[in-house]
Amino acid sequence: MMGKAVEASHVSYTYPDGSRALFDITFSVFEGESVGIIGPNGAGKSTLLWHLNGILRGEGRTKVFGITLEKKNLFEIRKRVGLVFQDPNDQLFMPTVFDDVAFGPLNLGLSPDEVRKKVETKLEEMEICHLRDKPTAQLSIGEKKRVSLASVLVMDPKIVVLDEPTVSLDPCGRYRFMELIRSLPATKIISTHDLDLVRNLCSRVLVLDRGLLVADGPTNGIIDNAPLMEAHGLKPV
Amino acid sequence: MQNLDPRVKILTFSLMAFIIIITPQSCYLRFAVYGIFLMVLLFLTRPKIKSILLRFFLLLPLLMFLGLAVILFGEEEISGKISILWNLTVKSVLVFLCFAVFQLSTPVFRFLKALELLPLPKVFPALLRFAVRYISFFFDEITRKKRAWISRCFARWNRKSAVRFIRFAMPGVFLRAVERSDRIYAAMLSRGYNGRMSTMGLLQIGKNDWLFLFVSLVVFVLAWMLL
Repeated sequence: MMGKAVEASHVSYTYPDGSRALFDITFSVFEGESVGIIGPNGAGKSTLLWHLNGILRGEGRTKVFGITLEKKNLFEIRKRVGLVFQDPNDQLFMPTVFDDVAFGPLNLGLSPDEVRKKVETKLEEMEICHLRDKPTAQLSIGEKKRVSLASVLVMDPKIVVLDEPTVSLDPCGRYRFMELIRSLPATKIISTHDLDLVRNLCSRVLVLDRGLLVADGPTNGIIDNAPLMEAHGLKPV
Repeated sequence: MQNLDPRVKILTFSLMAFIIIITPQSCYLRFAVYGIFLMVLLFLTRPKIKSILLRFFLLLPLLMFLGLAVILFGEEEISGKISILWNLTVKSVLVFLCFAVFQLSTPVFRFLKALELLPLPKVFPALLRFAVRYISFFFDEITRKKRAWISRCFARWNRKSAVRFIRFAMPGVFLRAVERSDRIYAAMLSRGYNGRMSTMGLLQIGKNDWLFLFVSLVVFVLAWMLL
C-alpha cells in the first residue's frame, strides 16, 4: 500500500485584498499517483498548487510525505516538491540555460562538480544540450517549457506539480511534452484546462470551482459526467 | 575580445582607467598612445558605429555640464580653465573608451558572473543581477503594452502618442512588473532560494587572457615611463 505523498486538511486561503480563494479543501494524493486538478478560470487551482510547497500558507494543514508544512520545514518540503509554473518566463530568471538548471541543485548545497554532472545529465535527458549556453530570454516558448521542467526535475523531486503544462505549445510540442510528463516516475499533480491531457495522464481528478472542491474521483467517471462538467463551467452547455 | 575572461578585462580596464586618471594633464603623447591603443581594442570588438556614438552622446551632457561649471564658477585665469577643461575632456573620453571596449566585448551575464567570482561582497553582484533581471522584464512589459496600444490606435505612432502612452500605460506597466517580480520570487523560493545567490564558476582564465593583460599593461607602463 503506497503512503500518502500529499495530505491537505481543511485548507482555506484569503488573498491580502480580502478575496477568498480556497474554502476548506481536503484531499490526499498517494505516492506514484497522477492527479489532475481541473476547474474554470478563477477556481483557485494555482492558489492550491502554491500551497503545496509553501509559497502560500493559508488556514488548515498541509503535509508532504508526513512532514507538516511549516516555516521550519520549508526547505525539506521544497526539496520534495517541484513546482513548474504556468508561465516559463516567471520560472527562468538566470542568464543562461545552464545557470537556470543549476540554480536548484546549488541551493541544495551540492558541490560544483555534482551540480555540473546533474545538470549535464538532465540537459541530455531532456534533449536540450544544444541550448546549454543560450540566454533564457532568447528561447522559444516550447524550449522555455522544456528548460523550466528541467530546472525542476534536476532536483529529483518526489512530487512534480505542473501548472498548465501544455498551454501555448503547438500540437507537436504538446504531444512531446505530454510524453515527457508521462515518463516521469514521480507523483504528479497537474492543473490544466486540457481535458485530453487529463484523460491521458491522470488516473484521478479533482474538480475545483470558486474555491471549493466539488468532485474527487476517477478521471473518466468525472470527465464523462456531463451534468457535473456543465455545472462547473468545464463543458459548453 | 569577446572570448577573454571578464575578470581579466575588469582588472585590465580598471588599471588602465586608473593610469589615465593619474596621468598629468600635460602628457599629450601619453594620452595619444593610450587613445590609439584603446581605439585598436575598440576596433577588435567589431562594434557598430551607431552603438559607439550612442554611448558617446550619453557622455556629452556630463562633459558640457562640467565644462560650464568650470567656465562660470572657476577662479582660474582663462588658460587655467582651458587646462582644466582639457584635463577633464581627454581623461573622460579615454576612460569612456575603456568602458566602451569592456561593455561592447562583454555580455552582461558574463560581467555578472565575473563579479560573483571576484573577491567582492556577495550582496553587490546579487543586487546587480536582480536589477538586470527586473530591467529586462520591465522593458518586456513596456514592449507588450506598446504593441497592445498600437494595435488599437488608429493614429500614427509619434511623440504625442508616446507621451499619451507614458501617461496612461506606464502605471500599469509598473504594477505588472511588481506582480511579475512576486511570481519570479516565488519561483526562486520553490527551488530552494535562501537569500544567497549561488552560481557556478564556469569562467576559466587562459593564456590569451594573461597575454591581453600583459600587453595592455606594457603599453601603458611604457608610455608612462618613456613619454
